[in-house]
Amino acid sequence: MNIDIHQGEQVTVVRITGSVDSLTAETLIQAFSGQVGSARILLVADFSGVEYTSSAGLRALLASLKDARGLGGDLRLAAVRPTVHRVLELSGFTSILKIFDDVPSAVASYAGAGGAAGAGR
Amino acid sequence: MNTDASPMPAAPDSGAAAAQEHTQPRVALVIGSGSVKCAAAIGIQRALARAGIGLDMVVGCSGGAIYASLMAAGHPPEESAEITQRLWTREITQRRNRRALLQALAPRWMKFRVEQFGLRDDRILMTRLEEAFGAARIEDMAIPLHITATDFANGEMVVLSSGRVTDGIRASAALPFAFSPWKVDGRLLVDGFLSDPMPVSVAVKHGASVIVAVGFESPYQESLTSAGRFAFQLSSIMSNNLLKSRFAFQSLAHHSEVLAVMPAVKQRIRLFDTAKVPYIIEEGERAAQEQMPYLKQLLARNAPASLEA
Amino acid sequence: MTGPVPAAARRRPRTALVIGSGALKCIAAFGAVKVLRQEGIGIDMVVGCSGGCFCAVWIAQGAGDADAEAARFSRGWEGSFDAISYRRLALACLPSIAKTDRRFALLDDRRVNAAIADYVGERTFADASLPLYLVATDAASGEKVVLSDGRLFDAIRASIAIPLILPPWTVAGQDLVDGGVSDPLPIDVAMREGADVIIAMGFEEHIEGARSGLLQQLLHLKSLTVNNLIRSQYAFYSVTHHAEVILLKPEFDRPVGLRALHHVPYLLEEGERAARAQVPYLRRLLGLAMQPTEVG
Repeated sequence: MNIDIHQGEQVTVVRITGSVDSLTAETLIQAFSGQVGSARILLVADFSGVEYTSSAGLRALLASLKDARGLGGDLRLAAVRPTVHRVLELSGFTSILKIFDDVPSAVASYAGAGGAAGAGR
Repeated sequence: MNTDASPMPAAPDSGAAAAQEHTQPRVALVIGSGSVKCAAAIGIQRALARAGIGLDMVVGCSGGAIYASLMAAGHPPEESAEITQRLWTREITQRRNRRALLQALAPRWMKFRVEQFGLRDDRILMTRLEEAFGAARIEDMAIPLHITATDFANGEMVVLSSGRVTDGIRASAALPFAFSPWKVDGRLLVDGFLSDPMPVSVAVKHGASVIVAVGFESPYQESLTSAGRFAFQLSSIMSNNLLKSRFAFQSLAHHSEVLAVMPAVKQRIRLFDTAKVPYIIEEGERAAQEQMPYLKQLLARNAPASLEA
Repeated sequence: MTGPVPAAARRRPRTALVIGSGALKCIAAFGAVKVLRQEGIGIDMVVGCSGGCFCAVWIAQGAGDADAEAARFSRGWEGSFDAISYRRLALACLPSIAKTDRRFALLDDRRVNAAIADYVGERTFADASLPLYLVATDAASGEKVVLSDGRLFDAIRASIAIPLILPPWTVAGQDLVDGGVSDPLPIDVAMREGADVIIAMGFEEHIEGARSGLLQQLLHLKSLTVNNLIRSQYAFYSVTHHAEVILLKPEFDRPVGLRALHHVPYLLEEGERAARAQVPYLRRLLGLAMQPTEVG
């Protein structure tokens, strides 16, 4: 799994490629907590390169999501592949976090009062 | 009785204005299914008001959608209670849908259409909803409102955050077989409780800080004297398992607290027992009162930093 | 903490297989297990619910040839669901006359009972070579009941007692029905019994496009509820487990009723396919304890 981080003005985009599972969970958590730790709490996870995700991988994602929200921010997903989206549905994740078709929409969703501009799916 | 064409005026809630400055809603109230028992939410609203805590978001499912909408529109508790008494009466389900009965008996001959199938005529329900909400829209409510229903085709939860309030409630409370499914934005919707009887996830998704949730288990049968009752029993068992399972997941997924308010409604409440509403409200207030000290502590501790847009 | 299974632990992760309810669809589990065994993926514990009990029992007893077992299972299944009991059906329609009784069932269970007896004889849980847990539901309270001792016959018969189709079964004084009513995919049993990697095979109910009558609508709504419950439980367990829950979920393109034995080859194939999709990750995951950690 590879992680590329792009820090925008307000929003940080974390691009993940490969598999998000128990073997890569630790790396994922460290990447996100690094951002949250430096007060970069408006996060977008670019999932366009994610081929597979497991329950342990999703737990890692959830931990990062909770950290960001705990400090008033959020973690939103973008460009999720159909097979991975299916897993997110079955795992209940589509009901608890916002998912956007592409990175620009996800980033734009943070603009405006109350983050109301982007309702996500 | 309001005879204006315009919807009920929305009185601003003291907490709502302050909340707009923050990215996340601070306090969300989720009102799950439970028909007239959902009136307990009015008691919760009272307890919150007494503690000086405003609501920043309301989510309603099934019967809870009515109360959520009344609160979001800005009605103080007493008004909501009074409107409920007028809105939710036995007449709503008294008129049988004769065509539906015939369709049930002879589906092919009478061209059974699932989209139209409901044993009860919904005209009175719609009239009552229109009297209460007029042409009010969900996205224009004083307090952000979300109503949940279920996609009839695949069972998924559908969150209505815009559109007419009357459409939202009608879809959310489309109890299978009693009322026909309701089409919204090209999708056929049914009762929200089928996908999640107490949709805390909606508040979680919007990053609400503290979530106050009230919901009710489907009642079990007094006695299992027929296959029909047995089938209802099974349905209740599965619904209740879904409720608990969803709640467990949502609690774990939330970054802060989900406070479950469980009113001790000991009397058996039937679908239209609106005479019992004062009792239900009282129990709701009492149950909420127990959570107020902790709720206040949580809010003081989690005072979020305001973010620049 | 949500970290991976620590490499430092250096023990093979305890692997459980959970086979959920799904009536005849559960035969796909035989196909899945065939693939798992081909890939050298060992199972240390088995949990079965409703239709999943048959494959679970087979694995726990040492598991021979999957295809042969599936064929044997099909032969036993054939005809089991044909004998409708009209007396029971009539009683079910007369609420005031019928006794206050949870024993409503459309089918006469004699053939089903004979088929199960043929499958397991008088064997008990003690005869199994692997820890085995079969799940049923308390008819009165709706709560999950885990069976792990006594006769296999009793446990299977209780776990498959689909409400209104088969009569409940009494075990140790408790009236039990279909395990799927309380939890269609009981991953928590494996969690409680100390499994690390849990391979969970679940079967969603097929959702039909056209619904042409009242009964169909009833069944449709029931299917929606069952599927939502499966997902909801799975979501909860995934998030509470300390290690990995891997879901094998075949995507069937057709409804498979209780009597659809002609679909068996298709079901077995889809079971194999569902397992193969997870094999790459399973191999990496289970190999972890035996190799130094590599950066992914």
